[in-house]
Amino acid sequence: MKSVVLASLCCASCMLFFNAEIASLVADEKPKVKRTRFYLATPEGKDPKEFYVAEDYYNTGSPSFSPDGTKLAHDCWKSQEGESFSNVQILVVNADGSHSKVLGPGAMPSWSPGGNRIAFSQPSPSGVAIMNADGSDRKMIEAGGWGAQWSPDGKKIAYRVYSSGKSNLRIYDLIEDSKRDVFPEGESPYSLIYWNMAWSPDSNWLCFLGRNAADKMFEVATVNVAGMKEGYKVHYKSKVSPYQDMAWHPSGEMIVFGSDTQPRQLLKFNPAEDKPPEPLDIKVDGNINGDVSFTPDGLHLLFNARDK
Amino acid sequence: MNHLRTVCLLLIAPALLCIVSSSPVSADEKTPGVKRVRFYTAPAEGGDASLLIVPGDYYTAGSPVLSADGEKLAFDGRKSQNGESFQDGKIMVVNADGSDLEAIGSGVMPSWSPQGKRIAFSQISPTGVAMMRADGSERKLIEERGWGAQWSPDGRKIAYSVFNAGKANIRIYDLIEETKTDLFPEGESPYNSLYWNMSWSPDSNWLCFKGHKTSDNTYDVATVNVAGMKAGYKVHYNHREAPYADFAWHPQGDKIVFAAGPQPRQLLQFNPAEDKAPEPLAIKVNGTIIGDICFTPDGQSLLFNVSGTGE
Repeated sequence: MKSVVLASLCCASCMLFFNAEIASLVADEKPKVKRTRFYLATPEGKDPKEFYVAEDYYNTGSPSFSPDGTKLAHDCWKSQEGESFSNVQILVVNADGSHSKVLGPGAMPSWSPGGNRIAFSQPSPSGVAIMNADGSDRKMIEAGGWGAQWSPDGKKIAYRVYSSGKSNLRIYDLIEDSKRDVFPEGESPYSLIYWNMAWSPDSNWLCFLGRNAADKMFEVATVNVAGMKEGYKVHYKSKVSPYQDMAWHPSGEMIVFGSDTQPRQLLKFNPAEDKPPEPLDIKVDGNINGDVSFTPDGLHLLFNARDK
Repeated sequence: MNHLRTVCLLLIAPALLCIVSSSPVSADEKTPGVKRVRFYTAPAEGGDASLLIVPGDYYTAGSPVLSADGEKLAFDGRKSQNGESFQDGKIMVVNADGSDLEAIGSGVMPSWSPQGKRIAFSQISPTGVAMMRADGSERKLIEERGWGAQWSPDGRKIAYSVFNAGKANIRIYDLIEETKTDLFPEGESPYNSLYWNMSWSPDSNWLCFKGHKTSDNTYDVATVNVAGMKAGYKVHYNHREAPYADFAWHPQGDKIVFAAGPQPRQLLQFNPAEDKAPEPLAIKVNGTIIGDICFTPDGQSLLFNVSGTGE
């Protein structure tokens, strides 16, 4: 999301030149204004089509479909009015673009399996939290945590924590009401672990972006949630940070994330293979932001792009 | 537990005649021959029972349940020999070898979370179903006036009975979604009482329970799908006399055991997938089988309580 903050600042100044009154909730919005839009393509990036724009919220990211595919949650703020990340809100809308509702302050929504609750990151006071899907009954899971993601089996919520200058992944077990860290104390290789990580469909692995404390390189890695010693693999390494949003295909065989290049591309890899990520061939009239998710049936890839 | 009250009253008098010293929490009693409750095990298919645990100073003990890893036994107990009543019930936890018996707090009918870190239970006062950590800390009420909480094997749900407008129902609390749903549609429950110590199927999709029917004043042992009565509901046993209210569902799913009949009670078994009447399960034990029962997690043995002198 921080990359989006920078993009938003650039965008906000541009927006002042526009009459920004006109925005609609559907793909046939006219006239076109410079903003973030969501697109749907095939999992391989073919045939992208504008899917949804979030009314008055020109900055939108972290899209996530409810497991039944009937609702989309994302975060957003009114960059055209000078709002910044500190104003970030969580918005839920029907998958057909109808009935959008702002649930309240928060970023990076993540659905429970039944779609009754949403885990999210709360900007102030900073922490990871849960609320009902109508925005009621907000409960903090952990102050200082960030990037909450609900496991597909519903039993766990993963997020990033800081301890002694190192970043770790913490797993909150909703059944046992317990918390444990994936990297043993003092053994995390990362000075920073980013947000919008992704769970494997079997709820046993996490894919995340981290900055290695030793060589300052950025890594896209997967780790077993039973602990680093159960499985840990670096799939991509670069000097420049790729985008931090990961989408794990429901089949388990493909992970997609945004490249470290400009303009940004979406890259894909199979976590079971030892091949470097390959670009998805997406032709879209805009700059790909990198916020990405799959539809629950795995038939489509949802991503956002900013107007050129 | 109401039946345990009766048992307790019967036990108090003779127990008071005994010199009560602190009994060890093992099969090696310092004061053998005292009439009290003890826990026994027997092969799952029946046979000779052997003494497993003597629950210390808690002469009345019931609702045994082993943690999923088999390392700890939880049960409810009270010092009936000292005049304690149902209101004084405690949740007890002891290692499966009988060591380190501990009363972790007020309550009855403990039920472990899958990893054994938490326990659901019934709170006596104020009445309700609740959860706590396995060390007794952080007690949280799930629902006032609910009763008989049982944690599903997959950990996602806690089932308990509720009573509303003269009808009893089974309510499912979903820990992940934080929702509550009733298994019998409003007004359609056949039961005016649903008892406690229900049992989950190993796949967490069914519950076995005892209910008292309003229509003909008889008692059912039935199974119901946790997606709701319309997804599956079957009466396996019906009798004018109340069976005991504790069910043990074998980890393989093909056998449910409960106690019924006049004193001394008989253990009965049935396969919920078949349409056969429950059949006796022969257990040879010195003492009176009370009816509180569970299987060991590996399915090899039954664990149950027996009232007697242990000789």
